[in-house]
Amino acid sequence: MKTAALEKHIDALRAGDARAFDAVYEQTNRTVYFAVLYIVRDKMYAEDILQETYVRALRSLDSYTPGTNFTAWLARIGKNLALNHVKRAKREVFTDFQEDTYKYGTQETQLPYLFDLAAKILSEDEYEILMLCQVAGYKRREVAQMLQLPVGTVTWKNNEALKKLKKELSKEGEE
Amino acid sequence: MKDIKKMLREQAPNVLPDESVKQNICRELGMAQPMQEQAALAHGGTKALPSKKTWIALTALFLVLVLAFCLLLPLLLKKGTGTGPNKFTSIETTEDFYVYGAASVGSLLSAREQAVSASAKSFSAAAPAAQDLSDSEQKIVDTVNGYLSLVEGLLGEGNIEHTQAETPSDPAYENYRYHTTIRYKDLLGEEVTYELYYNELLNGVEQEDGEREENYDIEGVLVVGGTAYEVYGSRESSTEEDESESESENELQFTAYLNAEKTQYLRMEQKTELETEEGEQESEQEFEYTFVSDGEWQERTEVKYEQEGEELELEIRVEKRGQEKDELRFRRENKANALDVEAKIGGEDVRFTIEIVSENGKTFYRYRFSGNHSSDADRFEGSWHHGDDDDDDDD
Repeated sequence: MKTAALEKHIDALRAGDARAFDAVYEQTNRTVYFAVLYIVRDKMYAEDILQETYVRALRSLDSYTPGTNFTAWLARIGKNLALNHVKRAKREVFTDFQEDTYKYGTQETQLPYLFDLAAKILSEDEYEILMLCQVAGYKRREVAQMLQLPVGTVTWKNNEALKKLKKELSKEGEE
Repeated sequence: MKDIKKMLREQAPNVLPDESVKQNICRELGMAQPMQEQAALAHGGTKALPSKKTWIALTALFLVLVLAFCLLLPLLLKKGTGTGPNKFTSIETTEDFYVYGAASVGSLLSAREQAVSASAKSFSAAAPAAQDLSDSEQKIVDTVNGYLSLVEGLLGEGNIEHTQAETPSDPAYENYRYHTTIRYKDLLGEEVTYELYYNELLNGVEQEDGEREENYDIEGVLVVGGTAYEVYGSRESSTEEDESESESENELQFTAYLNAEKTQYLRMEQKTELETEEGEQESEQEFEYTFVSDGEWQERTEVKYEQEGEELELEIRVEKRGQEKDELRFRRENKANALDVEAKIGGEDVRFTIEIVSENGKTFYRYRFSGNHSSDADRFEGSWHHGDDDDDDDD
């Protein structure tokens, strides 16, 4: 993931070159998606919000300051939209949206259990790093660059996340 | 932890966002039309969309060729095994990577010329008299054998071999520093040869927090049956270690351009992962082939080869744009000359074996389904043999 290349594509997009969207989307969508998914824990809602994030962001591309981490900027927009979604859903459904969505039919596309568990027991950064490394298939170096963290931190959090999941699964297996 | 990683990876397709999200964004932003008409090309520029006929031919060709390589793989593995490791676990150097990259892509490209006539043959043989198979089984055989009849030239008995020349002997390629000749034999024992001329650039070595990474790019020409295809490849290797585990990864990307405008290309991505955790070692090979035309993928095929102990397994997932994903899982046990296949074709789960049989100077594929249903499929003319039947029942 090369930041300079991404910035170049953003410039092109800003200049009206629609073809640059392809590269921008490919380089950023996983990070934004998992940031959103961690909050809404539902694939369909996460996809809707992902879509809304890009639409809003690209319509107000001028408000992005070049060189200030475009992916993080997008993720922030996505997270705000996701939080609003959760708030709205809580108002609409008088139950614990995070825990009981499937019981009340508010969850549209249930995630595989392991992913649900990961969202429940991991911190936001552990979840995001785990998903980017293990699910989206990025290398730790790339994830470090995307999240602007040292590689060592990414490695550590990735391993911690795996250990926590393993422990939780073993615990459940014993019960 | 390996299990958890594996589970996460396996479930990734059910979790990752759909392709439709991107299309919806384009549509909402009014970019949908330009994205289609001015699809991002490999090296810039635009081109009119090809005709439907071309799409169908290219897609069919791609499917066939990928399957050819997949079937070639276990046979090659068999050659090198005994009880020892297969060839792919011995891929260690940059050169090894390029040889396998070029061999697999080259084997796909080499059948281009044959595809049209072979297609015709398979169509002409579309009404065999296969009688102990159910309709659905017959359909599977027709589908799979359609590929096999087209790719038998790639199922060679020999190893993939290569020799590295100091400098290109052909003056047309004297600008390239490296020249590798890659050879293997097809099932008829005929030698297939590809020439790879390339320049390689070491982009640098990075070392950080116990991680060492070397980056290379290659640029050159792959000559297949007298046709030169421009190729571009990159290789990335890295090793990461901490107290309890270490991981080394090699990634090879190898792209062969199918036309001069570089609007159509076949990209192979190879990923080799060797993981050691608490003294236990596991290796995993992954090949991904993507056929791209005018900036949009048309077909993605994932080929995953796994070896745990004596068990060899090859998993192929074919995803055509807008269509259901087909899955084929080939397993070869105890060095048998047969492949066990578990497949999900058109949404239907099915198990069968394909044996490569040689009898009375004839070689054919023998399909065996559950319930003692079996059928032999001729390799050349598409005519069918059943049990003690003669082969004169083509009517």
